[in-house]
Amino acid sequence: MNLSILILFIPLIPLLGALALRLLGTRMGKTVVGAAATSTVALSFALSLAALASLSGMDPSARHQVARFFTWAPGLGGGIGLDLLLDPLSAVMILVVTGVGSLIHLYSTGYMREESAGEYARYFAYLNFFIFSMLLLVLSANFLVLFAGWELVGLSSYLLIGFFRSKTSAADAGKKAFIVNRVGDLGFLMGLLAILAIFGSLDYGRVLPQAATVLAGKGSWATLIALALFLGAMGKSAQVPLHVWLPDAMEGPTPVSALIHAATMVTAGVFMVARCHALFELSATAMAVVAWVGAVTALFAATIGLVQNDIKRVMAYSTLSQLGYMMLGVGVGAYTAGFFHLFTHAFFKALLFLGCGSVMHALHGELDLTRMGGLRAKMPVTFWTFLVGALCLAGFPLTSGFFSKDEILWEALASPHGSALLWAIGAFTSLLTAVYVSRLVFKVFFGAPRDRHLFEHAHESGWAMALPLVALALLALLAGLLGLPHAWSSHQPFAEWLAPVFSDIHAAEASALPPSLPWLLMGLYTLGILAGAGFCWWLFVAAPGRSDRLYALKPVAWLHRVLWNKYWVDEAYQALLVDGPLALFRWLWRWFDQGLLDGLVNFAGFSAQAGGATLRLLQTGYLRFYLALMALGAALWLALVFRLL
Amino acid sequence: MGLTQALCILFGALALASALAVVATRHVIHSALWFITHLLCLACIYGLLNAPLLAVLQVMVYSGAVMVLFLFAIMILDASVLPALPRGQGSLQALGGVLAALCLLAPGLAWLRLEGRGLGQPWPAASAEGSTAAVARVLFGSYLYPFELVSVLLLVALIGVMVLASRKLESTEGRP
Amino acid sequence: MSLGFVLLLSLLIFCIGVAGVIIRRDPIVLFICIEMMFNAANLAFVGIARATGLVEAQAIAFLVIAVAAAEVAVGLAIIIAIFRSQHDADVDHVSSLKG
Repeated sequence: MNLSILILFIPLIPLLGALALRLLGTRMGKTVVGAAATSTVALSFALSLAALASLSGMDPSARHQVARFFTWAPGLGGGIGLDLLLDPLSAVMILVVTGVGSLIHLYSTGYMREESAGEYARYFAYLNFFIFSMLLLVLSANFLVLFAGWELVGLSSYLLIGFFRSKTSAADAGKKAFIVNRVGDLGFLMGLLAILAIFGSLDYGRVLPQAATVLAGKGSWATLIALALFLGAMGKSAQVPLHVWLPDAMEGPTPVSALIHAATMVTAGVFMVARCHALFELSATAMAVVAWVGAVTALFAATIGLVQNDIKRVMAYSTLSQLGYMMLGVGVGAYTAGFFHLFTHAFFKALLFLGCGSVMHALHGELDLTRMGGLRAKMPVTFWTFLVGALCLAGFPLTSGFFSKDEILWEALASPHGSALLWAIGAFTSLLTAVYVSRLVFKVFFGAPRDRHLFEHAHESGWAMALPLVALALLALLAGLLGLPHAWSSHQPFAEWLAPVFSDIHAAEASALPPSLPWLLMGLYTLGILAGAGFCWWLFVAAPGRSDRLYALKPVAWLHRVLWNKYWVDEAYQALLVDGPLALFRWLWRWFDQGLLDGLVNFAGFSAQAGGATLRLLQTGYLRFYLALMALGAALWLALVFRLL
Repeated sequence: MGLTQALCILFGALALASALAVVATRHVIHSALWFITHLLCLACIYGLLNAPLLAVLQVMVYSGAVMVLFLFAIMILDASVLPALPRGQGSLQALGGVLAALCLLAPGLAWLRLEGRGLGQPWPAASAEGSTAAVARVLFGSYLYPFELVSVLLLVALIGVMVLASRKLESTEGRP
Repeated sequence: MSLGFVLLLSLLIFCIGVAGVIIRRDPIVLFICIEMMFNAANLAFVGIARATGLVEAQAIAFLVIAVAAAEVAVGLAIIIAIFRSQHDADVDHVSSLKG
């Protein structure tokens, strides 16, 4: 089969599915809808596998296939249109998107079963549309298609977050997500325009390979472009300070949170930085900004996740934190490492979210972990898969999360762009990760149930939901094999696969760090995880009430308050960007619109009245007065005629 | 100074005096009578100005017919209730009126002053040009059309007066 | 004896007429002063006729007299119509056009 057609069909099938489901979905039964939606994505997955096979059959240097379908603007930068690119990077992404996507579609068929037929169809239509948008984004061969995909995933996100139309909070969350993303997109667009202005084209092939030569000597332009693009990434990947939309996005259905806000959409920013690494490499400032923003986000989010009681919120902050890790990775130049973490994170975070969904489904929508407990016995499948996910998240040895996170931390230390401080922040955050995920696991699955009634009715989920959980757990465990550290094995399939994409980066000089350091660090991490988990066990499970006593202490209580309120960032934004300007606008309205403009209009009326009233004084009704005026008028006229005046 | 001139000045002064009297006297009848005097003075001046036809017409039509009409009107309107000269607040109005008249006077005088030289020339000798025959020749010659129109105007005035007199105009305004 | 003299006289009589119209509140005297103004105009015409030898000016004065007569008739009819039923005839009382 022609490779171009294959590439086209990968995003096209879900698009057609979305249209069909939206238009005809209400007429098909729920089973048909679910099956249809899942099959489109599964079909895309199959095609993606075929694409991967096709690509691997080629010579590594030839693994850069561009398929051009439609020229939209022939004159714009040498012709721009619907161009799709299949290379190692996009091949990995489409596999992740369609693979995890199809598992989540399957899960959704069970999770959303209680919705009405119309809503069910609408959900799957939107979900398919999202898959299409994300595929468009990652398969783009020029910045225009990238931007189109970028915006479309934003749209899909908005539609899906606000899916429960009767919930005002959901609608608000959808708006918030879209608006905050827009702020980032402004930067993104500026970056695109700058690229177009300087390179004269938006095609990857004409921009990225020539980046070094075109921007030589124009260091400030390189920094500008990179930072502008990164602003977009900050919005889409929810980096601080544009992170505020992601926790609120949990208003959407849980499978949506799993797919969009864990595995795929939010990783688009990281993907974009990896794709445009040629541009970022030209500016050390931009790289530093990326790395530091990532590190700060990781730490910031992890601290907040420590104290949240809503299980989805804990996961949301965890996602923020892990996204920070990914940015840290690409920021220090470790593109492969950052991307590998994206890859593994997709599996275990989706797993964790779906597990949360399973728990919520069993407890009839309960989100508060203070009302859960002891579910280990009632929901074994969920428990064990969740545990796998939690171990990966914490970075427990031999899980995929361990390998990916470890790689990033190592590069943070060893890379020329990295520093010991960055490593320290990452390592500390890792400790915090272990703590909050242990807290979650212990509070939900261990200990005595806090709400007897809920506990009684809890049950394991059906096969539609359980199967994806198991599949993802396996993937989470096995994915690590693709990226074993250098110290363990000389064969890294993942890195080798991506090598052609990142071949233009100058390899880091052999660091002056001792060769035994990686081993030492691994041991350190493991100790940290065990310590964190142990601490949690001691605090939350061993003796009930111990945590309450801890929280009662003054400094702890104060810290708890700060974290509980998420450092008051949302409140600050509200005051600064909403209330402040609103007050200004109200003042302006009062003084300018009402005072000045209405005043002018009123004055027009008033002056007409006043003029009339003044002129009316002449209409005395007295004949003799009129005659006198006539005489004066005649005199004036005479004077004028005889040129006396 | 010739006789004509002296008489002109005399009658002119008389005309002015009687005009002032018209405005200044209290009773309406007196005003009317002073006006008749004024008209007669003017008639004399016309005569001196070599316009005999006009002089006679002035006497016959103006001081004859027109003033008789005025006297009839005074008779119909109860004379005793006609108001007197303005007093108090009215004198301020009177002052205003005088000022208005003076404003009218000023440009006229100024113009006369400017054109004074051209106006000071002595007249040509009196000729037969002002005679009745000459006037008739013009009236029935080149000015026939206005002449006929004026007769229509008189007819219209006649009809109008008859209409006004026959209708009873009720006026609620003006009642004190 | 000059045209200037006649015109000056005419002007003075006219101005007296104007003053009279504005000053007097009696409708009859008001009307008389209007007639005075007509006469002033007539005087001017006759003076011009004498000074320039144009007989047409006398013809105009003739027509003016005729028109003035017609106007007096109609005007007095109006005055009588308005003021016949008044207790006192005062021009100031006819002020219903006051705006």
